[in-house]
Amino acid sequence: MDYALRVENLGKLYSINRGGSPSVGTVRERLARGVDQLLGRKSDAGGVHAMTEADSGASEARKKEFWALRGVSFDVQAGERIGIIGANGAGKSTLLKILSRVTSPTEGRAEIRGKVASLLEVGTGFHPELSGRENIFLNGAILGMPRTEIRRKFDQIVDFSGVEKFIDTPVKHYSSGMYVRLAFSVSAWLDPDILILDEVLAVGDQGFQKKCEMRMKDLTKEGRTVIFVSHSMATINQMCQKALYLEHGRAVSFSSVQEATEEYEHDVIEAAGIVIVPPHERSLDNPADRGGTGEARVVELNVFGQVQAEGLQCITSGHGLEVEVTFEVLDDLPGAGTLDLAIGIDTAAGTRVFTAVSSWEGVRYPTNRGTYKARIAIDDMRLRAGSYLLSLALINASTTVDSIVHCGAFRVSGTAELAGIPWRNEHGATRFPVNFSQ
Amino acid sequence: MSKELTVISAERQDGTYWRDIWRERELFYFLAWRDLLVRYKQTIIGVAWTVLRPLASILVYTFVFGILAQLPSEGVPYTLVVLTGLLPWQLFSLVLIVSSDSLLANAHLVQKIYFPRLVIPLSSVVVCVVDHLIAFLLVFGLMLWFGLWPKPQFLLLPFVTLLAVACALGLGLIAAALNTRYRDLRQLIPIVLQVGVFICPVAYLTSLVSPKWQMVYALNPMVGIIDAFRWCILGRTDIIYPPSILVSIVFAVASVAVGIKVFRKMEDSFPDMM
Repeated sequence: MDYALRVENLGKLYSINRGGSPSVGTVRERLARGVDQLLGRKSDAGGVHAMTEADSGASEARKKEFWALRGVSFDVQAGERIGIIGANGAGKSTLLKILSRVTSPTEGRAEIRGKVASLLEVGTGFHPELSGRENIFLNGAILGMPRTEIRRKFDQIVDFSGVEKFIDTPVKHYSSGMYVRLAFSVSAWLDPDILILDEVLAVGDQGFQKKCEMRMKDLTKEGRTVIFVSHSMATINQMCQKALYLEHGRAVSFSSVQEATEEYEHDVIEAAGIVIVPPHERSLDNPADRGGTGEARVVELNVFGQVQAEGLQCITSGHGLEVEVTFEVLDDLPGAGTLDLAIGIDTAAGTRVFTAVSSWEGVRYPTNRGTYKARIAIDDMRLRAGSYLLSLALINASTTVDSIVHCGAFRVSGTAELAGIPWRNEHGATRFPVNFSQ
Repeated sequence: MSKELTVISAERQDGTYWRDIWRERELFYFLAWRDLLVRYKQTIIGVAWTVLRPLASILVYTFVFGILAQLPSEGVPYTLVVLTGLLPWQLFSLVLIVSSDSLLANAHLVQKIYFPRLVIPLSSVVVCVVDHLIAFLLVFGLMLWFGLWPKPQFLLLPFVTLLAVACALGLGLIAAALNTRYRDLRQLIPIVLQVGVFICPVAYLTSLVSPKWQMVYALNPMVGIIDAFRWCILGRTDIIYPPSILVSIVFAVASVAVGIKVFRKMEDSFPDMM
């Protein structure tokens, strides 16, 4: 097969001295240590000596080593768009740095076929004293664009950035928005076989972000191989076909973007501690996110799906979900039987899918002191596969009495494809019964 | 179909290094261009400074060594003694300072983009040489003032310039590499240079050193460079020590060779150290 990138068992070992400083020292310390060694003195543990112990063999044990990346292997075919996902410190940036040859690996190898352009940062090499025009040429050269090519694309770059009025002003006088826009614009007209991107889309105002996204999509459509790091699952889903999921420097999975992002989102929920205590055992006494006056409170929450797996209630998309809420009214509330129960469903990324309020359905709950049980049955949950979170609130006469965010979770499976057509993130989290007719 | 293959591994890929440098000549050009732009951004004032700074030093040294101390100048106007000593010395110091500082000054590039790192110190030299050429206006001015006509060996000056650059660049490469590891090294260099002004024949003639010590004195490679520079402009062999030029040539070659070797050896660790 015609691969564009082949990564085999790649690893990067960093050593950090005790106290967290990398092994950079000063000549003064080096000399002091040399003198100590010469005189047969043992260097004392504290003070300046400890900081540079790394390169004195005697105190090897002080050196702390960690693998920022280890045993990572994957192949990318020419023209494929790969997302790299994972939490902070998972090794994403290290991987990009190795692939763009900024830093060399400790072990393993990677083979790249074709011309690489890497954007680990927007506006690398921009100089504040130079004008916008001068910086375009400088930045272009740094990114590997020949002068003739920059000249040819110059008008497009300036036009895209929208700073033509200030193109001959030193960029130190630019607003930060203008600066970033100009910086990104140069990168947007690169023409490599393989493009390595690190979160660079998150610049400028919303309008410009859209523009960048469109430009990036155009770029990727032209048959380029793209390696893209982002924390935004939505962007990854839109732009990439496959995703590499990294955790603590190791590859958890390398699969379709659908599977990888779901797995990641699932792990994020788990890491947030919601699944570790299954919802029905969860004490609702003192969660941090609790709001409202506290005159009434939810004391128990049970979610009933079709099956339970990995501590989560699961349903197949299109099936029903039941939620049982027990709440206690601590003292008689104003009004008679006017208490509202609301439930909200969020995606794992925190986007609200929908909210249901009991009074919208013509139901209200008692306001007198006592403990009550409410059952919420949601039929026909046509949700995209993935993990979801639910939040609850008790409202009386437009006063929030109790609210608790993300107190439960459930999982939806089985809609990676519908009638052979993939249901992606960009299609939305839910679908409605719609009649198409001829 | 046959696209270029890049292999990334823990073992160094030496084969492509010089090819890569050649490929990055555009970057070399732009980095040098950037340094020049930034340095002479205030055009007239920027250029004027480049002439005024050495002129001030020349006047001070002439006054102190020529008029107060009355050091022998073998019939050469003392201003010319200082001029021909100071210019190559300033070139040497500037190249050494700028190249040894170049990596840290461009740390943001080193950490974000790959290219052969040698491009950075190499391109930083350009601005020093341009500075030197501008300061050269003083040579023409003072030669005119003292009614000195250029000798044929005047044409050998580019070679002397190259010699001074090579000596300084080799040392600068070593210092630049070590600078990433030992951060106080950059404070050490100005001190060394300060002492150097007096160790080297900047403000006096080599012939001032007694003949039996001249051989030892000439082991300082800057002696040969300054002597060569003086010979090119003043055309006198009696005030210099010719064998010192040979020492400088040997030192220049060795300095560049060792400098590149040390730089290359430490190059891979730069991004992680900075």
